[in-house]
Amino acid sequence: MTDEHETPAPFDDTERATIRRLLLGADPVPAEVVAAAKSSLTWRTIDAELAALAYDSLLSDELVGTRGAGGPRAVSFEYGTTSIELEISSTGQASSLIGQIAPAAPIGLELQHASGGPVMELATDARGRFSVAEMRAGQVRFLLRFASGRGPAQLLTEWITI
Amino acid sequence: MSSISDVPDADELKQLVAGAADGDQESWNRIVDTFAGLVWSVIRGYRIYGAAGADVSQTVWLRCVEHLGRIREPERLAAWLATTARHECFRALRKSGRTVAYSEVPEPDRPSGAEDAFTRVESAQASEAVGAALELVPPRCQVLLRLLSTDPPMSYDDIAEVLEMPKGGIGPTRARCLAHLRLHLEQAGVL
Repeated sequence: MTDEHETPAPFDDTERATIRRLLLGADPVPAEVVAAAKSSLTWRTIDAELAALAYDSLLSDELVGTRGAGGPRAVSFEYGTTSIELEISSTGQASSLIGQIAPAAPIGLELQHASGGPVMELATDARGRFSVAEMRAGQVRFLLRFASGRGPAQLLTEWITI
Repeated sequence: MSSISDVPDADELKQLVAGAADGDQESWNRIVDTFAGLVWSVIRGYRIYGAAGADVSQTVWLRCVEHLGRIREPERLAAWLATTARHECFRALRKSGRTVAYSEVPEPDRPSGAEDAFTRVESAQASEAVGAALELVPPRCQVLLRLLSTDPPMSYDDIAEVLEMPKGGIGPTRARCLAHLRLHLEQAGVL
């Protein structure tokens, strides 16, 4: 089968180099952006499982068109049968959130901020809920510590930008 | 050993990913040096600037770090980075209240057959004019042209997946994008 439109040959090495030179010549990657990317390796964690970002209303609302802009942002992470749901409210630079771990369990968790600074120690209540009254903008993730059970001892959420 | 300016091939990329997953900073630096321009290009393609652009870039690289030990196809790292960057751009645009256009690239106002819009631009001082002309083409075109020019090159399959468009659509879209660009370059007096 041939496509309705013939697929042209990819740009060759010279053409790609020319395009890159013109694009990046007009707009190089700032040195501090590259430096920050290199320093991000320090966040490598090997002893925790990763809870993947499963839902983010910032991405999904547009497709279904249900919730208007300005409402709280809903985010959920999943690892196996464990889920972490967040509802993030932002006003200007400050954000607050409420979270829910399921299945519900009283556990300790910490809020990590990629820009550094002290981590915020948190705990869920008996119903698996927790909250953060005020948090800075930037990239954040949660490290969950489970005392015992069948699941992993430590669970880390993917980074999200608040 | 290859020099630092060389582009890693598939085997080398596999070693770099394995090295970085083990915490080797040199391997990680080389990955960043190789693909920082690609990530930046996608961000610029969606016209995100300043601190917001730096934020998107950093989120992509932080995501990459946490996925290092889970990357099953290192040779497709470029596609993974571009897809992650695109999704983060959508989030950033939504957060700032801007809409994300999913629309098809329209036909340009007047026909322009040549595929050589870029390659006919020789002089280095034209880059500013090229940058200005690029600002005027549809965002989807900007991203496509940037994805088509990566080194190492991305496959059409990967580009189709990143942009969520059929592979057969890449050729005609590329032609329309280059026609748009050519018209703007002509209007800017570069061509």
